[in-house]
Amino acid sequence: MSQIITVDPVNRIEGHLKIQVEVENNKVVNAWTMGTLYRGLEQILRGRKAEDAVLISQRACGVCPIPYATAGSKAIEMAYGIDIPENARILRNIINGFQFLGSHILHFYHLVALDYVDPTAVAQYTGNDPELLDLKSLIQSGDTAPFTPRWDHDFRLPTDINIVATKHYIEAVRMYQRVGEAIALLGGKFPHVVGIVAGGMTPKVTPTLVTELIGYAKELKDFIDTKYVPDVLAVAPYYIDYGNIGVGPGNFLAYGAFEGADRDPYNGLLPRGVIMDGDINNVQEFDQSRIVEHVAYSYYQDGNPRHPGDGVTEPKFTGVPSDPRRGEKYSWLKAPRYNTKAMEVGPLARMLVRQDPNLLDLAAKLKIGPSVLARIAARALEAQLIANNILNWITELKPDGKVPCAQYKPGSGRGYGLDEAPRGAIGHWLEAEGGRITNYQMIIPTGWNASPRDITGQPGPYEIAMIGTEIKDLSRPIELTRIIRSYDPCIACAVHVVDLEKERIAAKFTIGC
Amino acid sequence: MSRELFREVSRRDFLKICGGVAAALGLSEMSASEVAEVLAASAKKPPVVWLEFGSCSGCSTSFLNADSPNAVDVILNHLSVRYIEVIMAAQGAQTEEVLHETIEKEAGNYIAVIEGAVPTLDGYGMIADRNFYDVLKEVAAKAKAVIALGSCAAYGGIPAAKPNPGQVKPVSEIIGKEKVINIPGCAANPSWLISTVVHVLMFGMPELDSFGRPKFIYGQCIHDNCERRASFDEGMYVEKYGDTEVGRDYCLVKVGCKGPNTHSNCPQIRWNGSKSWCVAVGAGCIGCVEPSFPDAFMPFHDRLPDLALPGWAGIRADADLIGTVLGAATAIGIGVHAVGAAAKGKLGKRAAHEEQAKTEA
Repeated sequence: MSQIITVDPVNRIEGHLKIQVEVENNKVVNAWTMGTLYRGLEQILRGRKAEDAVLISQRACGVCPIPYATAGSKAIEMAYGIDIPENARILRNIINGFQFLGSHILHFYHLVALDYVDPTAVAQYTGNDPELLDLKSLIQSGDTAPFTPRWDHDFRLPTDINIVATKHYIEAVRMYQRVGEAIALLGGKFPHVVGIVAGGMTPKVTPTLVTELIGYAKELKDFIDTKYVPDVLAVAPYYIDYGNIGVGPGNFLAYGAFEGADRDPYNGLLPRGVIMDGDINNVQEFDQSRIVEHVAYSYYQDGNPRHPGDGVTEPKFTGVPSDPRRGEKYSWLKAPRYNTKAMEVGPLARMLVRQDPNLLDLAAKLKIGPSVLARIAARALEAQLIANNILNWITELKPDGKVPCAQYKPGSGRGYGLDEAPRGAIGHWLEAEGGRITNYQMIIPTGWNASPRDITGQPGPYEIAMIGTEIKDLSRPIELTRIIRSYDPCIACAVHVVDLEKERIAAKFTIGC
Repeated sequence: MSRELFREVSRRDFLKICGGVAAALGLSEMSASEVAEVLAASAKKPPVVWLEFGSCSGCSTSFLNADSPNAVDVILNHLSVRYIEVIMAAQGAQTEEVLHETIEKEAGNYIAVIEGAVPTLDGYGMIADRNFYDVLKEVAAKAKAVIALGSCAAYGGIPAAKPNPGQVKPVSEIIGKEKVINIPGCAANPSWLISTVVHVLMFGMPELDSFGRPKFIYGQCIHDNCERRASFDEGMYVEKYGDTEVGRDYCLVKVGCKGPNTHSNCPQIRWNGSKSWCVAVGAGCIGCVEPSFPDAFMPFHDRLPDLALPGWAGIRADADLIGTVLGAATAIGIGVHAVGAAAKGKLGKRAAHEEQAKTEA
């Protein structure tokens, strides 16, 4: 007999998420992911000056605001025909690069690690490290919040790895602060920055700035090379079964990021492309006209699947289904599909589209598929790749002491900005008249990954990844939360409503971007 | 709220807190014996419940960027953070058990930190199938104090911008004002949160302004302490981003800096390890700590409509005239920066605010 298992909230993610699965003989036969918050940023943007979108849209996500600002700026620059200075292009690569490093480090150590690493092993620590001793006394005093309670039935690491990883958990917070400082040098503060504007960037490119950035880049590269990547490789063998757990739809999408001087998104450090049906060595060109969004199982008025720019989005909360099998609406997230397929976005998608040799070698060596472990490993290797390149980008800067921002006149036009956030592909579509926004649309990473079913009943990537999983202890389904967290969910970003008016926007973009 | 309310809470642990926060509160003025006593005390760590509602998680992220002390130090050594979705180990129903256990066992004892605005429509924001507003009421009822962290929790913030699609409200409109301390900001500077908690635990409720904000954080106008103030006074402005030459940093009011209408200690404590702040990167303040943010501050890059600039061609060009006006202005108690406004016969919001502050005082 089957039963329904619920995890609500799924925490150690950004935002509010609930998951439900149907289980038969401890095996997941069906799954539902439910975004449980609605905010509605795009509606707010309507009628505002286009430039305001750069500052408002990044407030969709306090974890990865930078790519929102860059995607928003790119959309305006396309609409108004602005060519940004080289120093601005490079600074944007650098600031988003730091954003990736911070987000990936935060994800592994602070969001994911507590599913695999047991920090209470520090009770057996006999060394002199003051922070580990602080933690040891905390454990001895019995007040271990927020590290307990927890699901503790599947910790597999030996004591020494637990202790080292816990030490790095603490150090990683300092690394996250360093990332914040580096971003603040370019953006003013973190989270949420003011230094990225339509036309370029606002900080003056001085030798002082360049020098400070080099310092941060080296410190972070050192941490990633000597701690983050080695920790992932040390933990992986103990959880090697997760190399085949949580396999998603096998379709991957990357818009691409970190463009070079040629500004070709197919030729950047993380190139644009699509992989379909698990054919992971066959990378195809991306065509945005093949995107549609479904609302059949989302809390919106029913309508035909539409290109995201169609913007027919009328909120309609119909209640939490008492049983998800009934086929009622169940999520605030819509269901974007590419070429009718559910797509995985994020580090694994980008590194596969890149055909990154380090990732492909590691996957072959460990004999793992596009799984929980592959996502965690891809994220670490991507961080290493970016850290290496930030140093190169900094040396490309021309420290002329000037503000790298192009002058322009606001007007009318349409534009889009496609970029990558740490957790996947992000796209903004803008239409402006007389400098004011007439329509604004965002499709953000977790909108793809955490999408509910579409009108054909095809589940979203999280749902596909959970189906088939064996759960050891039905009261503590840690297998499911390990799967979900491997994607690095950001539900805060994913739940926004698009425009209420029935205007078509992205459909007008005929360019195959 | 009375100061006595907080006395039972362990306030001693916090003295271990180092650096900028302690200095900001003037803790160095404590006597040596007091400090010794505090350091010797080993009271239980004060319990905290941190709830996230209609937010972007940015205030959580900001807390993780805390510098002095940092977030791990706070959690290991100073606070017993029982419920905090973004980092707690507990999962699913276990998290709800932790929450309810804390509410019952620590009734009247815990501090609630609320991040995000509160949707008032059924189903527009839920944890464990319960609407945010019900969760908030339950948590707030037995809390010792409620900190509305960030502009969304304090005033509605971003999701409350017109047309307020989720019909969100700030925390104080759901549970009343008496327990609430607002710490606005988008995001809130982690130093604001930690220094406020320190204040609550050691000295009781901080003095709040009419918008429910601690005066020791939000008591001064950004414009008064701005590092580019000299450029403002001398009439040297950035006209458009990218137009300045190497060298001096010009004032940003003409590209929309909202510093003259915004109140916080950003210029003094800065952000992210004191490395920078919005004005330092040449983009200007967007007014993110004010109750009317963001609507009243958009377009962000447009000059404040009621902000008059000093002089007509700058103080240097009209030194004699400005000097004359200055004398008169000082006599009626208006700051130097309002000289231009006074000369043109109209006072900006900024000056009006000062007048109001004087009246309140």
